[in-house]
Amino acid sequence: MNLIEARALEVSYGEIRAVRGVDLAVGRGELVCLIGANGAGKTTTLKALCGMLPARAGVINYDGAPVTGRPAHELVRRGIVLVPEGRGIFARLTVLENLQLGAYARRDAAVAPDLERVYDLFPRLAERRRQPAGTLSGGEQQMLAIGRALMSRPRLLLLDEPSMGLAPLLVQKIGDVIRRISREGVTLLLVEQNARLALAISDRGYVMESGRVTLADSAQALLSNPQVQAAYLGG
Amino acid sequence: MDIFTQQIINGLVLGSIYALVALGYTMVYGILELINFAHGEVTMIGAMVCLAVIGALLGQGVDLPGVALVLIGLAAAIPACMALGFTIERVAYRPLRRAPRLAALITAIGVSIVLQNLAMIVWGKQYVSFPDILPAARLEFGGVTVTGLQIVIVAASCALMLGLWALVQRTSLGRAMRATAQSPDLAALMGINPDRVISATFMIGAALAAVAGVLVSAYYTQAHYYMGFLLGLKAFTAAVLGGIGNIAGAMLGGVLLGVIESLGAGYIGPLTGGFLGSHYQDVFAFFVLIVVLVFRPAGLLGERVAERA
Repeated sequence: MNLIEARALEVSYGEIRAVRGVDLAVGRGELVCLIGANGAGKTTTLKALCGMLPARAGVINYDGAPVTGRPAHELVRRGIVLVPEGRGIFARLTVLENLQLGAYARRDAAVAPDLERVYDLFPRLAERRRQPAGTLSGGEQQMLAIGRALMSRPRLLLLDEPSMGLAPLLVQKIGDVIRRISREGVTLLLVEQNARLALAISDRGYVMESGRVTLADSAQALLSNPQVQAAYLGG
Repeated sequence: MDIFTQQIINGLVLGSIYALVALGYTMVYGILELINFAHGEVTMIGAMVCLAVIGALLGQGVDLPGVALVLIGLAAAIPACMALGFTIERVAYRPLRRAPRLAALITAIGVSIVLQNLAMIVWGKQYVSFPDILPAARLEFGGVTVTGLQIVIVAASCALMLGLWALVQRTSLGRAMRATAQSPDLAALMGINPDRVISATFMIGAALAAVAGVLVSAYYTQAHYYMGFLLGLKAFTAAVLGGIGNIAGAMLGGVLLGVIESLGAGYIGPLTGGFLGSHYQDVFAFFVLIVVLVFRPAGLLGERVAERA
């Protein structure tokens, strides 16, 4: 059964139709990626799924119920969490405060073990917990953004370009972390321009072009698809 | 030397009241980038509600110590102002959240005029005097006089500012406020409802304004429907001086402005050979405002510039 599905989703910025009738679904526990060129509508799709942007048409179902038009802060409480493009950390707050904000919506008090888990996953964050988050390096900020999202105990984690601007070694590390999160049972939808990384770790993938899904297949099949190879994997 | 010390003390008293009011301006600006010009009127309503309650109690012949009467008045003024702050944001500013900032600014001035006129209708045009119910304790040392009320004003303001600091720095609501100030969209991704944080900010600012209103009316032994205008402008100046949007800046700016004003008022007479008197006190606040806007528009502790203030 699908945790989230979008049917005939359309999203516009004013007159510009960025997403033009997208159908996609992510099953429980799946790791699915959405790849495509700049401006294909990937980020817009994610923002619509998490309630940051309104859908102009179409339906979004989450956990068997429609959530179209619900605000982002409500969807966070229901388990949909976005790690936005460019990380979106609170630069003037400390690392610890950023992580605590991740757990803001939780009612239970058992935040401490989760904090330990995040520090265990990213030891650098533990070392820098008292520092303003704006003083972290790009890679550390990405780790903070992912760690903060984990603090909310997401059921569906939406990751927007987690590898962007990172050194190859860090890209590897982020890939490992995503796989680990997936193994722990979190459902993931990953948007990436680094199609090779995305397809290497995903179960399935969607390819978007000009606001539409043009291909949907298993990650393995997409990796060996000549069209995908030519367009997104550098031949 | 005596005059100097005395004026410093008077300045600290006045300054701590400015700081309380300035916090309301700066917190709202920090989150919405809006100068809530109706905030001075919230202070006035606080004073008026407190005085109305005290007057009613005295009219009923309630026999309580003066301090208890003022505390009861304060206990009425705080929730009244919080409700007012909540309502102002909900009715006047929220519909304009996505509108150009000029629209919100003009609306703020409009709200301020509406509140002044409402207060005039309810409480009249004349000055409402603060009844002489507080004990007139005073300390004198070396030619300097400090009244009990002055000590209470400074102590209460300090306690409230410490409390606010702890709220903003140490609690979940405070983190949510700082996150929303940085980016409402990102805050929403943390499960924070920005509307609720904004409402809370207005209510906290209004509660501080209520206390400031009561303190200032007790200090000057009177209240008036128009008192919020000048007090609001000075507090706004204090917020700009400290760096608008910056909470520590509002505290610093308030105290500094009070001291500058007091020293100015104390020395302008002797310095001009009696040509200008201490009734020019109000000039100093606006002189400071102009100097800050020209030479350091971001304020003493500010990072961002209030380019459309």
